[in-house]
Amino acid sequence: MKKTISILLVCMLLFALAVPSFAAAGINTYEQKLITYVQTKYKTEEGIITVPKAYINAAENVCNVIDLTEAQYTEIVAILDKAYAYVLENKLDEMKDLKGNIAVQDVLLDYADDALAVIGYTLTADRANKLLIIKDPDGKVVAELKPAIIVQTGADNTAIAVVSAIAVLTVAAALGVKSFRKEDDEA
Amino acid sequence: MLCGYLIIYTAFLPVAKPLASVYRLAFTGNTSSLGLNTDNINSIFFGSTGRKGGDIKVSEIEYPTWGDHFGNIKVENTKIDAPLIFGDSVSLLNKGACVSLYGGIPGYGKTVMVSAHNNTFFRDLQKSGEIGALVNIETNYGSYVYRIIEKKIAHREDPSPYTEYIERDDSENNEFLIMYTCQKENGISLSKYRCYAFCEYVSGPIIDKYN
Repeated sequence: MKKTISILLVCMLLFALAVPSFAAAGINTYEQKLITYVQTKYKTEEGIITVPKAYINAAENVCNVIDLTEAQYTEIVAILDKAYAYVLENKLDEMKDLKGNIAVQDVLLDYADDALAVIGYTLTADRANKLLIIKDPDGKVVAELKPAIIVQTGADNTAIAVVSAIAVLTVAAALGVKSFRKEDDEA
Repeated sequence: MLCGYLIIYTAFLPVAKPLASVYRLAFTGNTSSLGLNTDNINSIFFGSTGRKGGDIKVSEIEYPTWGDHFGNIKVENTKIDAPLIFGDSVSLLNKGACVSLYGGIPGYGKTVMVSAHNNTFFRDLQKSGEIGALVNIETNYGSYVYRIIEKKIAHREDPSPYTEYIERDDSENNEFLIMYTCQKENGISLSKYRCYAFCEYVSGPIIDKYN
């Protein structure tokens, strides 16, 4: 549940934020609010979910080339809440709940796609290579999200490191970091 | 006879692609010194800015986006001298040393993760990249120096070598550089292991990411 949610939330964040309209580099107020929201919002019985740093880094890299408005922030948070509710409702507690379950995977991908479609971006799931590819309205790739943090750099120059679930649900696999702060520890 | 040809084809397939890569290295006529495809690179790097220290506002730099050639990386006492590309994918790894979206860019205060193939841009990282060697990274906004402090070989699915570096808190004192490539075995085969070179920050302008 915890890893699923953290993966889902950060991926939704990344997809929804992949909007490189012209903007000065930097993280504005709403982008920081959104990153903080993902980092600290979600609570489970075991504590507050902390998203692995690598995914926050990816979100910041995207944030540095966009200017998120308040309206976009509000819309993105609404999408994150819906996706989170779906995960809870369907009791997607473990990665294995998603593995091989194409119908569920497609629902999660649809949440991301809905967010991107608002601004004309597209999301393509390359299941063969375990990638999620985001393109701008001109068809230019703006991000390729892959399962493992560490890429394949062997002599065959082809495949990126592979894990066994679809890209959006295995982004967290390589780090495998889960940390939880008990609510009591916050003070 | 057809079955025989299929068997031969299947047996040959694992080495076909590496051999094709070698062929391209030896016989292609493009401009890369390594014979690699340097076409269609969007470059925002036009040589050293000469800025080697101080602070720089993030709003003053052209922040790289996916696929941008935004710098160059050299490692002391090695042959590593490669274009620095933002983003890492199959195609981008053919164009230079790739900076992962899951880390930071030099000067940002986060761990910078740079990968390249072991038969091209990082081909002597494992053998020649020694502890204490300096790594010089030129970017479109500043010049950076790091120093190799540790090297490790680990299984590709073992995150422990780099997790500690990535999970550090953001601050000037916690910026590290991780260079990695596949461990070289017989030179043309895939490896399940990665060679990592961990580097500490030495110098370079610090990016103020909130201004």
